[in-house]
Amino acid sequence: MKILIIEDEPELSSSIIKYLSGENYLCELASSFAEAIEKITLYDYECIILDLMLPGGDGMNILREIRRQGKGDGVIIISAKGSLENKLEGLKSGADDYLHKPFHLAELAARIQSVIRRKQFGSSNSVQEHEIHIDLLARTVKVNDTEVPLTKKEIDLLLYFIGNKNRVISKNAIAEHLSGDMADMFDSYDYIYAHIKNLKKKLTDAGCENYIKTIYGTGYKWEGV
Amino acid sequence: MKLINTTIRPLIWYALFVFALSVPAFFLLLNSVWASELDEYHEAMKGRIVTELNEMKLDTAELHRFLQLWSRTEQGITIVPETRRLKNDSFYTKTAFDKYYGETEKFRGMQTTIVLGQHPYRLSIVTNMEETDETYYMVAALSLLFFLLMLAGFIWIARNYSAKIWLPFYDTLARLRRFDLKTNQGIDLSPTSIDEFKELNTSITELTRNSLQTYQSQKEFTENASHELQTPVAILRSKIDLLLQDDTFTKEQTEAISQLIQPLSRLSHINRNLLLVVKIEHYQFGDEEQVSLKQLISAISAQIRDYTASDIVLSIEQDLTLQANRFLAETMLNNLVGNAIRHGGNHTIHINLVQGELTVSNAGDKSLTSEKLFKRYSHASPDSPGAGLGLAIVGEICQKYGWKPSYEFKDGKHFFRIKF
Repeated sequence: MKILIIEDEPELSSSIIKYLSGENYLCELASSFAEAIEKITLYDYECIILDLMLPGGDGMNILREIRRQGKGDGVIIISAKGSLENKLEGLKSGADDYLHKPFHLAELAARIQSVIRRKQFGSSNSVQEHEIHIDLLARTVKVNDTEVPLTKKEIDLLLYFIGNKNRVISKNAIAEHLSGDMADMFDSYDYIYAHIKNLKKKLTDAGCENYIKTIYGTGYKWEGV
Repeated sequence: MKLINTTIRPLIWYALFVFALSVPAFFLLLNSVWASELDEYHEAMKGRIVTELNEMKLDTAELHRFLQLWSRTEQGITIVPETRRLKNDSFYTKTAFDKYYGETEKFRGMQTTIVLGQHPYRLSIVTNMEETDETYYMVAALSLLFFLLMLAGFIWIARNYSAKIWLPFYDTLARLRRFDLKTNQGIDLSPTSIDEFKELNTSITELTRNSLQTYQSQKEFTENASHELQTPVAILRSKIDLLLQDDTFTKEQTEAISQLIQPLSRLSHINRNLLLVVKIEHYQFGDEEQVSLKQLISAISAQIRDYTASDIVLSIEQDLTLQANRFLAETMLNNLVGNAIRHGGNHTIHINLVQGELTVSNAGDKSLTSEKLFKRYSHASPDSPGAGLGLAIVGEICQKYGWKPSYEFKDGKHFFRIKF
């Protein structure tokens, strides 16, 4: 799957590319406005990561150009402008998601997967991971055809892990994913521990293998092939 | 005080002053004119008396008899024998009781020496000045009438003419009042032919243009500063995320790397909050709507319950609808509750809404420095790990909407109150 990263900060784009390339993504880079316009016109991408402040122009115009050309590429805006108006403007102009800087790479990976999934599967949207089957529309999870009663937050967490297979995810990244901006309000990560413990227990109780590994002092990791 | 009244007021005072001056001036003038007229008349009378009596050629006994009779009938003229001659004629004014008029009157008199036959006589003529009083009243009444006429004129002119003159000024004032930095629109003043107003309008146009520019550049600066700061944080964060994937590190090394995440997270949080404070100060949250405080409290506490072990107890007596920006109202409540959770150490948090007052309380060991609590960059307590911005934002939001934040430490509990 091809992903275009439009970002002028080489250190950031290289980190993104390195993190994503482990999965079956093929990442391309455009570091200026002109280069980005050229690439979106010539090629199709499953997902485009778009920074808004670029040398040579406003990233918002690239988004408008993509939509003007009638392309269905998924677009995730990454911007330092984190205000609600900026976010709404981006989504109104046709972006699929809006992520404000600084973000965790795990968060970006999960969102890319979600955008691609939505683009590819449309309404019959589901995820199969080993013995786990997630119906995204009905929001139900089955392990070997047995339904597991997971809460909305637990399904969210499960998808987040699956979107970052074999990656160490820090507790801070999980906290931000679960509680968004509210993560700043709490000093302790106790609540993450509780959520993950519940998720693990519900899955293993349903006969699922334990894929969630605790990395001491750091975070968690979903181990699976 | 209205501008027009300010201009009329000294005029009225001056007119009153002139009026007050004019009354005694008229009085004195009339008095002296009247007196000198009478003196002239007395002088003429003296001449006539002397001439007529001498022409009659009466002997002394006849003369004395005549003078006696005359003094009885002619009130005011007396002629009595004199031993020595007065050097000069004397003129005087006196007040005396006039038995025929039955009241005290003012008289003008003359005393002189005349010679009848070969003997000197003292002639004194006294005339009632009774008419002068009436004249004074008339003059005073007339003056007052003109004064009132002038007063009415002043006010009429001020109301009609001055109001017309000041019209461009009031127009400018109205436009200035409507001027709003947030709209990013310059002020458009109507042209005027009066030099001072032209100057005023030029200065105002200049001033507002400068303010707009400053406002815009400050706004851009804070936004850019935020961007510039978030980008390096984003790079650091991504590098740490990548380092965590490296399994060649020892356990200790990985742990050390993980410990970088939280301070970095706090850094970007502070950065975001600073931007928020500046934005509130710059009135960048204009959209106001009706916000139900009850709904807001319920929504936020429901959200927060997922993330904390602390018990949250709500007590809402009556809902309160705020006219405010929804985001700011949420932010304020989030910060208050977040603050309570962070420092409450898993104890119960109470959120009360009673009689237009919101109270968020949590357990604590000792009182915080209350006067600095809602100020920017102030550490309320040395143990607080926060950036000191959460409550500053609450303070800013309260200030924006005229709400009153307060703090109290009582019975081992912190009480944060907002009076709406």
